[in-house]
Amino acid sequence: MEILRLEKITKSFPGVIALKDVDFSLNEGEIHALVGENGAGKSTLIKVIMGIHKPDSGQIYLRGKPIRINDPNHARELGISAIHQEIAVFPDLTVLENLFMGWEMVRRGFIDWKGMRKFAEEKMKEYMIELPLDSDLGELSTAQQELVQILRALLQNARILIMDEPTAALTTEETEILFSDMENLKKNGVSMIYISHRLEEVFRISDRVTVLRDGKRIFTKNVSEITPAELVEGVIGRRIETFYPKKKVNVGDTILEVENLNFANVVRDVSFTLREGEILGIAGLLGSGRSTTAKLIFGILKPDSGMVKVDGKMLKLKDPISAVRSGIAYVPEDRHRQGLILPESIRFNISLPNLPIIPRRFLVDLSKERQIAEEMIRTLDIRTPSSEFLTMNLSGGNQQKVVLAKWLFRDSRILILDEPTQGIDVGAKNYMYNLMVELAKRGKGILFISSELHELLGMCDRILVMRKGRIVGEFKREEFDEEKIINLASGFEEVNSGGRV
Amino acid sequence: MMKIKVENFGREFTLGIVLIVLVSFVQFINHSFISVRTLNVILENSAVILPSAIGTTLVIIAGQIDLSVGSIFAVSAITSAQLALKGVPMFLVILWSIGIGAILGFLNGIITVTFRIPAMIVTLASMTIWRGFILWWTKGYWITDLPDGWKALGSTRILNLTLPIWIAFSLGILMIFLVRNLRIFRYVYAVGSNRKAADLIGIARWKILLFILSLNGALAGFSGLLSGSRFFLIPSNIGTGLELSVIAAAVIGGTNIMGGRGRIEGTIIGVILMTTISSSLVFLNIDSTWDSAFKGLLILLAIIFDVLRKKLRRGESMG
Amino acid sequence: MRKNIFLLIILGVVVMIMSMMSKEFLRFSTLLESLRYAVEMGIMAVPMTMIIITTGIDLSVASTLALSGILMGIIWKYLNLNIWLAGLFAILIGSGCGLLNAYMITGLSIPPIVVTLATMAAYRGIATGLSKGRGITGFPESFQNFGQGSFMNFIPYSVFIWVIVALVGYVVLEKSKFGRYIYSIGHNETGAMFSAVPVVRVKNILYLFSGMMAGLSGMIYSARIGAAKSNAFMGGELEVITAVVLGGTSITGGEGSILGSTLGVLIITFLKTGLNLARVPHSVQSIIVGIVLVASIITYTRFGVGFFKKIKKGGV
Repeated sequence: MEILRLEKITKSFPGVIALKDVDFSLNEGEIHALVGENGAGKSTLIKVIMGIHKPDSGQIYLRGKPIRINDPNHARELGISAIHQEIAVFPDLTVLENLFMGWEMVRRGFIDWKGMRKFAEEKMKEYMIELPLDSDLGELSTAQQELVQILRALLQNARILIMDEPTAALTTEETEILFSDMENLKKNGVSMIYISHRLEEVFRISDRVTVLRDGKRIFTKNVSEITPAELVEGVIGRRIETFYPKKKVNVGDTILEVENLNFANVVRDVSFTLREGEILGIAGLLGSGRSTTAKLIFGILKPDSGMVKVDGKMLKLKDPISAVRSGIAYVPEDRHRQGLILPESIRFNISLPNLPIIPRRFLVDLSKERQIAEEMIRTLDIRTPSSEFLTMNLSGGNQQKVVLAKWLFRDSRILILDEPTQGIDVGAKNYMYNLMVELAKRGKGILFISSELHELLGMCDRILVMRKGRIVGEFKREEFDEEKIINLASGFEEVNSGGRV
Repeated sequence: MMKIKVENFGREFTLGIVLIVLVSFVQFINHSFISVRTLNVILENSAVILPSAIGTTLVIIAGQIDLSVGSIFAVSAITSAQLALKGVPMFLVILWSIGIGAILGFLNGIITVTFRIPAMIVTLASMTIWRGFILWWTKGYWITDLPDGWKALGSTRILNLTLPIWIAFSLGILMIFLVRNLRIFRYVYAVGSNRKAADLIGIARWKILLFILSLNGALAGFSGLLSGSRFFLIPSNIGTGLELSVIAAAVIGGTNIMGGRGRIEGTIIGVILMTTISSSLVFLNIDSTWDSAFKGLLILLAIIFDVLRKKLRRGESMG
Repeated sequence: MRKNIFLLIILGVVVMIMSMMSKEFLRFSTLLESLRYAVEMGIMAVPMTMIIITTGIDLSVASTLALSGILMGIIWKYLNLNIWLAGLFAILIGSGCGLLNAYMITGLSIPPIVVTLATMAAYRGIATGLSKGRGITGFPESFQNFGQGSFMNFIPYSVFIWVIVALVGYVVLEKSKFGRYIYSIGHNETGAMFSAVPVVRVKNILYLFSGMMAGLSGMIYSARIGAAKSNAFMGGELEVITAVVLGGTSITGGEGSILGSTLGVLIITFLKTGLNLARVPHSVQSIIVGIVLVASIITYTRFGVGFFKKIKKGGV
């Protein structure tokens, strides 16, 4: 039986059409996977279902009746609940308290703990979920914490669960536990929309799959009727080739060596080398350990074991200061929180990491500083009225240029770029690519982390593929193969060798 | 009622053992320590600050700090005593002590929530203001010649224990029950545990803060009355430094200073432990001037202990 | 900058009102003499400004002052040490107290308010215990003269120390590389870390500096009073914080200046001196100081966000 149907949903934002005539349907007791690249329209579609965005046109039907969903509370009343990516709701409170926080059962003015416990236990039995009701939520595993959210939704009579990348933070074993719980829910007629980048999980758990690309629905098919290759092709599609200004550069000596880096369960035995003039890409899904590896090299995080060498010399992995001194620069993924001091000027930001090498021992040489900032503004073509302009008032592309300027002034030899083109416009992107080529020509080694595979394919000399904290593949430029890389990153290799599908 | 599990009472258990060891040690050094008199002194000293300590515990659980309790305590004790002097019936005096505390707490709360300033900064100011007010009001003179009705509150004995002891500890038990079973107190925990999640779930954070700061004022006011009722005279500097004692009691009793965690049970034992230490000093022949040094060190130890335990636990779950 | 002009105006208003209330007030010598009583607050406000800019706080300064003073007295009296050497010890002891705070804040990652609230009790308690609640008196003439005398019978000696500390503080905070680090931590600690700012080292130095200045103030206080007392500067941490916040340092971090804080100290001091001369009781003075604190915070947070920020942007 069909429980939810979306017809011809269109939603546009200033400058972009996020969804165009998208159809989607969900059956009772079905797990329907929603896949697509970043920006394909998945989260917009979910937000339309949750009532966060109103569609420009199109109609939503719930159990066959047309309906308007006003806001997430309304959605919840209708039996639609989203399980958020950010878990750990009230870590200091017990599971039972978390389940009922905000809608406790009350008898004669007092909280009815007995009634709540009974209700929760009944539901747990019904859906074959096991949770320690009296433990503090903070002591539970991530998977169990997700389960608490799911149970909370079920207690509130949810019939449709929207699960957005629920396995991103889970270990393999935890994922298995979650999947078996999902099977149980399914048997009880709960429907689930399952969003994941891990395509092998789609085959493992879901009944149907809908592929979105560039705001359009590409196809909806039963999982049993398609092959991994078809799915991958659907996700990638044939697209308009962006021009990447990649130029052949003579690769020089090794400048960076990473050996057996380990950090908790997030980064495992990562080893690689980077050479002068080389652009080395790291591909991988969210949670694959790409950014964590970068943070370990830069000294933000302390590794459990392993070492990093620059020019053959061991680096003290203590704090970013020693990394910067050895010529490593890091352009972080979160410009606003990590890359810039937003309420301060361009001049302030550019000179901050370079204060130790700006002349004068103790005091800041303001005129020298301004001169440097203006020079960088000219070189990088940062659009701003003056070097005193506050960085919070700059556009995304110009902000990114300021972050780069911090490290270019220093003439860092190893650049780690973490999603450098995220959230900036096409012109700025092109600028960034050209700059990377220029820097490579000057003999700098660039470690390029990106979620957009095309970028990596266009710009890199070599690509490393990471999955679940490990490097699972390495490709030279002449061996680049989009499909193979996606398969590796999303874990299809395992599926293929396991003989499933 | 929630199911009670032994491991959830780890802190109270540890404190209980510390208390027993302490008492045995003092008794070993000075055989006259354990006596009805000492017990009365310890329980009475605990009783008069217990209501305020409970209020402070809840404020800290909500993620805030109230430094003005000592001043509210003084305003309440002195104005109540003056009312009693004027011949106002005792039950009205009691109501007044609680009411004036609630009003002063409410004022703290209103400024905290309307201007979104941390309660600590607001109460830093109101602490100074009300202390100044009471010194100006009394001109620094002590309140004396209090009527019999006043003294009756402090000195009536039931089963050899004075009335404030009975009142304060009954209040403690009542609060344990209410904190567990009233929704609003669960929201206090929610607000302190995860602000954003509380907002998401639709808990009106400002209402909770206003409520808890008012309640804290009321409890501080009641503490002031209990404390004042023990004597025939009330000095104008009564309650100075109370904020530190009650914060100490709460933190020693296992309340997480960062909010979200803590229990009234722990605070009750924390209060008793602190007053026992103070009383022990006399029997150990240590000058009473060391009292606050011990309190300060005890808070430090409690905090460091908590931090290290958390680190250990995290280490275990990592490995 | 505009904030400081605003403060200067307030200062002017305070001076005007006070001189109307008391004829003695406007005499230059009265004003200079009143500075003597502001020295400790002024000195401790310098590190406090820097600490609050990094979103921290140090509640233990007044207790550190008392403990350093008492220990100085004890060393001088019972070890027969030269009083000036003992004074140096006071500074060392203060630094030690600050270092302990720093260790717990950065090493054990306990929030500064918690650490310094506890050490506030502990340091004061140890001072009380060591002195048995009695003061230590009878310091040599030369030492007392340092606290009570004036240069050419005009400018109190201790004021020179304040001026030096404030000037050094001004240069460090507003002109030096270290000062840049302080502001960057206050605005965005994560961002500062990603820009290779030595966050931990900066914080350690600040709390150490705060303790050191409290120790120095302990020595000056003892010289001024002619006695080392365990209840010295009781509640003074609040006055210091009041002055700093009044001086425009944002409690949410990132903003503040030494000049502002110094103006804050002056406003409070002149206010108190004037009220003293007008025979307004101490109790009422503390009410007024409390109200000034609330009013200034409300002005800065409520109206400050729009009002001052707008001016700031236009000013650039």
